[in-house]
Amino acid sequence: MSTFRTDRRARRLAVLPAAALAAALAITGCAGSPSPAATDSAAPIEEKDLAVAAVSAPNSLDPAQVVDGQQMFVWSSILDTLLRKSPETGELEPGAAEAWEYNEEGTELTLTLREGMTFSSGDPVTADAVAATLLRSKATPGSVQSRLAAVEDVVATDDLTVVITFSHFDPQFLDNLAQGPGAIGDPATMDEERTATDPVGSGPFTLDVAKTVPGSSYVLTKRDDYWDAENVPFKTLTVKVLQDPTASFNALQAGEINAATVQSQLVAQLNPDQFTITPNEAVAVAYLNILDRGGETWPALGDKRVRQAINLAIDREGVLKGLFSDMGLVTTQLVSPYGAIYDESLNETYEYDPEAGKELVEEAGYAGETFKIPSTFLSTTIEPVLTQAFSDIGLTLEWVAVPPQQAQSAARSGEYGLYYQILGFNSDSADLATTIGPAGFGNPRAYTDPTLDKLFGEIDSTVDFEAALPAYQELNEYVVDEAFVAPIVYMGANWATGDGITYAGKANTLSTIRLFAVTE
Amino acid sequence: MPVYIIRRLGAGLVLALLVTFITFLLLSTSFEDVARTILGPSATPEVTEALIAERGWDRPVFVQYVDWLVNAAQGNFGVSVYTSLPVGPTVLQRLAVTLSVIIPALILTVILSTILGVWSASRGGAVDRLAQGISLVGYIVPGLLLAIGLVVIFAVQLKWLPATGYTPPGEDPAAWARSITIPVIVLVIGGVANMAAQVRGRMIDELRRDYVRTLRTRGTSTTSIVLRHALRNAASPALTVMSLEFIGMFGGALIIENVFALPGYGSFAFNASLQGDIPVIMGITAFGVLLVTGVNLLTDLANGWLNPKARVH
Repeated sequence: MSTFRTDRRARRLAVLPAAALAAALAITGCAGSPSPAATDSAAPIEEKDLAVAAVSAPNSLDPAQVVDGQQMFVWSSILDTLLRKSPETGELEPGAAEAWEYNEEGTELTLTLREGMTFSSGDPVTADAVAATLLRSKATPGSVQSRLAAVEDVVATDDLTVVITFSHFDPQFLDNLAQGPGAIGDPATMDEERTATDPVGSGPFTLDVAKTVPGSSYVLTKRDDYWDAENVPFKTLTVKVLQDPTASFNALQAGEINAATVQSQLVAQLNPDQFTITPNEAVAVAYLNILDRGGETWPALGDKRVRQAINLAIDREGVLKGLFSDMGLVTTQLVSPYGAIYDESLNETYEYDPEAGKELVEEAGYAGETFKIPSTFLSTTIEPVLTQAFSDIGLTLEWVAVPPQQAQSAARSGEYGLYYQILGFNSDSADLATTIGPAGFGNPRAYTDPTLDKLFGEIDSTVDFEAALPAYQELNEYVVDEAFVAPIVYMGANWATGDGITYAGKANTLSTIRLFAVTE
Repeated sequence: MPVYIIRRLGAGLVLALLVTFITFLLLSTSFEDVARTILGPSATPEVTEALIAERGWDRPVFVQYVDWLVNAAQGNFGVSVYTSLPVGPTVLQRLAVTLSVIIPALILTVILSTILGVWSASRGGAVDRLAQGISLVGYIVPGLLLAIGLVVIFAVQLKWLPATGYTPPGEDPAAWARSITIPVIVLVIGGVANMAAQVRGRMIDELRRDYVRTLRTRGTSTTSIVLRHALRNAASPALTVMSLEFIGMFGGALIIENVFALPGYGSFAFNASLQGDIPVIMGITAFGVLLVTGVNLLTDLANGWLNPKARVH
C-alpha cells in the first residue's frame, strides 16, 4: 500500500500545516539515551534574508505561554530551547544544554549548559536563569504548565548545571525540552509586560519592534553574539502571517517571501529555476477518533467488530486522491512513518472492503445505529466521505455543527462517541500516549484495558527509549488490531523555497529556522 | 438640532450597551473553552477550573459585564487573553488600516458612481446601456476572483504592486498607496456596481419631475438642471446608500484583508472569533457599534443639510 521508506532509527515530529492544528502539537516526548551530538557546522556562506509564510501568528511570546506549531518560527528565534531536534532524523540534539543525563529511575535529569551564552540584554545565561524559567512556567497557568506536571523541583547546582527532579519518569519530557517547555527566559525581565510581546531571550534573533506588526508580520534581526551564530545563515528573519493559501502563493511568486508551503495543485505553476520544491509526505495524521472505546454510551463502539468495520469502510486511497490531492500516504496507524515504532506491514490490516465491514456490523447486531459527531472546520471537507462510509456498512453519522473554539470541549464533553481529528506528529513517545494513553487528550473517557495497562506500565518505567521500543511497537500493533481509532491518511506538505534557500525538514518539522539551509 | 444629535447619540449608546451585553452573554458560554485553549489540550479539569477562577470567569455574567463596562468607559478594554496585547490600542490600530483602505475606496466609489449614474441617467440610450453593463459586470464578478486576478497581473507578472502586506501612510506614503491600490480597486468595482445603479435610478426619477420640466421651459441649461437641481435632490438617498456601502465594505474588507494579508479590522475580528478571544471580541463589537452609529448619524445630518424636508428640528 504505502511505498515510503522507513527510517527505523529516526525519531520524528512534525508541525501542522494549518493554524488550527498548531494547538494539537502541545505534547511531545522521547526518552532516548542521551548522547550529545556535535552541532553541524557549515562552511562560510553568504547570509540571506529568510522570509517565511506562517499560517498562524504567535500568541504570547512569554516562555510560560508559548505554543508550538508554526507559532514557533517567531518565539524559537528569540528564545533558545534547552534541546533541539534534527530536522532530518528527529533525533534530539544539544541546544542551550550541551549534555543531559537521567538517573536510573528517570526521576532526576541533569542538564549541563554550554558556556558563554548571553541574553540579548548582555546578561549571561546561567543555570539559575533556566531554573527560574522552568519553575515560573510550572507555576503559571498557560500552555506550558501541563507539560511540566511531573516536575517536582528545578535546582541550579552550579553556574552551568541544572538538576530537575520528577515525581515520576515522564517519557515525553526530553522532547518537550526541544519545544515550549524548553524555552529559556531572562529572569531579570521575565515578569515585565514586554515579555509577552518582545521578550529578552538568548536565541539567534531579536525582534525588530518598529518593523513588526503583531498578528501580521514579524521582523527579526540576527544577533551576531549568539553562541551558534555561524550556523545561522540568515541576516534577518521575516515571518509573514498568511492564512490564505492563495495569498501565500502570490507572495511567494511576487518575491515577498522565499519559503512557504504550497498546495499540490499549484506546485507546477512555480518556476523550477526560481524555486526548490521539497515534499514531505507525512507531517500530520488525519483520523477518526473513537472516543467511546469502552462502549459506555454507545455499546456499538465498544464492540471491536464495529470499530474494525469502520476501518474497513473508509476508502483511504480515494480520500488521499480526492481530498488531499494525493499529497500524503494512506495509513492505518497513528505513529509517524519516519519513526521507529511504525510498521508498514500493519497498513494492510484494513484494506477498503465495505462489504466485509457491513457483515461485521450485522454480526455484531448493531446495524442501523446512529452516531452523533462534531462537525468542525477541520471535518467539513471529509464529512460526505465519512457519512457514505458509515452508510455503506449500515451505520449512520449525524454531524452536529460545533464552533471552532468549542471543538476541544465537544470532544471531551461525552456527548459524542466519534471525533474527526488532524494531529501533527510530535514524537514517538507522545503520539500514542496522547490518543491512546489513559491521560491523553485524545482519550477523554480515559479508556484502558489490561493490555494497555501492561504496555503503558512498561513504557512509563523504561528510561531508555531503545529498551522501551518493543513495548511501543506492541502497543502500536494492538491499537491497530483493536481498531481504537480509524486512521485515514498521513497529510503531506510541499515546501517551496527560493533565493538559494532549501528546506530540510523530514522526520522533524518543528517550526524553527533550522528547517532552512542556504546552499548558494 | 443639538437636541437631535444628543438624542441620536443617546440612542447609539443604548444600542451599544445592548449589543455588547448580548455579545457578552453569548460569549459567556465559552469561558471554559477559552481556558482550555490557553492551557493546551493536556490540561487537567482542575487546572482549567483554577484558571477560570483566577480570571474571574466563574462570577455571574452580569457582574462580569458591568466590570467590563466600567473599565471600557474609562478606555480600558482589557488585554487579549492569547497575545496579552492591549485591546483598545490594537483595535484602533487595526481600524486605521481598514479605514485607510475603505475611505479612499468610498471616495472613489462616490465620485465614479455619481459620474456614471448621472451620465447614464441624463444621456440615456447607448450611454445608459453601457453604464448599466459596467454596473452589471461589476456586480456579478466576485470580489475575491477579481482580487486574485489583479494580483496575478499586477503583482506576480508585472511586479508593479505588492501581492500582500501593508505599509502605514505615515511610514511611506508611496508604499502605502501601492499596498492599498488593488484592495481599493476591488472594493471600488463592487461599490460602483451597486451605487451607480442607485444614483442612476434616483436621477431618472428626478429628471421626470415637474420642476425639471418647469426649469427646462424657463430655459435653464441641461447642465444646471442636472447638476444643481436634480443631483442635489437625488443625493439624499444616494447618501443613505453610501453609508450602507461604507458599513458593507467592512464586511468585504474581511475577504480583502485575507487575500492581501492586510492587518485590518476584519481579519482581526475573524481570528478573535475563531479563537474565542473574549476581550478582543468585546472591544471589536463596541468599536463596531459606535462606528455604525456615528456613520448613521453623520449620514442623517448630511441628509438634513442637503434636503430641507429631512431636516429634524
